[in-house]
Amino acid sequence: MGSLIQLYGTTGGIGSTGTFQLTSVWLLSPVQTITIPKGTVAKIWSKHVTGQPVTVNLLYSNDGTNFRVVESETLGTTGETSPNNKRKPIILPSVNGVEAFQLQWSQTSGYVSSVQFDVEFGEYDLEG
Amino acid sequence: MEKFELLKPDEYLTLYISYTNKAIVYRIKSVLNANYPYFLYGPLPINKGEVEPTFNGGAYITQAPGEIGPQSYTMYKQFPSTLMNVYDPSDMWYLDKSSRDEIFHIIQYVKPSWVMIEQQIPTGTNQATFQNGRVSGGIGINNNTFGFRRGVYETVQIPYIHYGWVYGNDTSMDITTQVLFKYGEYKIEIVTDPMLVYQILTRRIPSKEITLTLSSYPNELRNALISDYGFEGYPMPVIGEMSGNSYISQIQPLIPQIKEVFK
Repeated sequence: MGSLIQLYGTTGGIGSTGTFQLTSVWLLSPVQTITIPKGTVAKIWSKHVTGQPVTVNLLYSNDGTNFRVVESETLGTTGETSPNNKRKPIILPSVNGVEAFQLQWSQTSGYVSSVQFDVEFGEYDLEG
Repeated sequence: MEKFELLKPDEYLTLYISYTNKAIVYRIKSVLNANYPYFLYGPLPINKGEVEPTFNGGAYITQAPGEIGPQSYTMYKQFPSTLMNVYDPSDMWYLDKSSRDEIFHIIQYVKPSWVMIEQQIPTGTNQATFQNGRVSGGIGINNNTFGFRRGVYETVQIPYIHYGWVYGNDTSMDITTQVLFKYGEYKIEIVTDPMLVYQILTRRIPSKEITLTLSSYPNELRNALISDYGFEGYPMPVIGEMSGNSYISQIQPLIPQIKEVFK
């Protein structure tokens, strides 16, 4: 298996902090928290932040409830971040099927900023 | 990544029936859909408003065709035909008794590729177990630990039996789905040269091997094999304990049964 999907979310100018509602062509309704299928890994590839200044945090949870920041990216000035295509993906494994991730934003005011990123759900190489 | 390839004329295909430890050995005579190996089916055959069980014991009502809800799975499915004049409109892969010289070699790809797939033989009968039937497995059973695979499934459709399919989505997303079939519609003959059968089943001669995983031996499958081929498969030779000659003696009585059906 191996499925690369693009997810998109926007702050919508509704507050200085929040959790992105993520959409994709494969999703029929937006979702805040994405549970990772059991025995697979979610590989977070390039993240692209656009719009007004914002910090986007990637949060991971082992139990589907308690989340912690595992990666952060800041857009310092209005514009867009430069994709770093040489960067290795962030690997988020699912051992029990409850592991999940979400993206949160923080900014000094209710600006409009967006995030688009690629996530690949692939085999968890347990034999390797 | 595991690669799934279709066969060409004159190649062999071994269909292993796990419960009986027997095998049907085919020779591909021709490929009827050569050059056109894809069938773009579309979404999984799920209707809007369908009730899907959830992994935590609840129910989800689909909002759109082809949808699998968050943490949900489908009831058993067949693929209704989008074409006119197929043998059975409720199952596009079904072949009737008159098609015994034909099989479908089917590789189904389901997107997104984390979608869980489980085969039922026949439709409605789960076959995934652990420890020889002591523990049932499959989608929605035993905490989704075994008895399914994700994103792709390869099988051989023999005539006169329906296979069922269960699909699961163990994420928090409600997803739309897509199915692509890569398939070979083969004209076949059963290999009836006993020495050749021995050499294929002892892997001295290459043959593509596909297994029907079974924890029981349903009458529907037995009846299909008898009806299609006149026997239930060649017993697997015991390598190291059986000479070619003794194996040939063992399977020789099966050959007239097969030839009778195909005459």
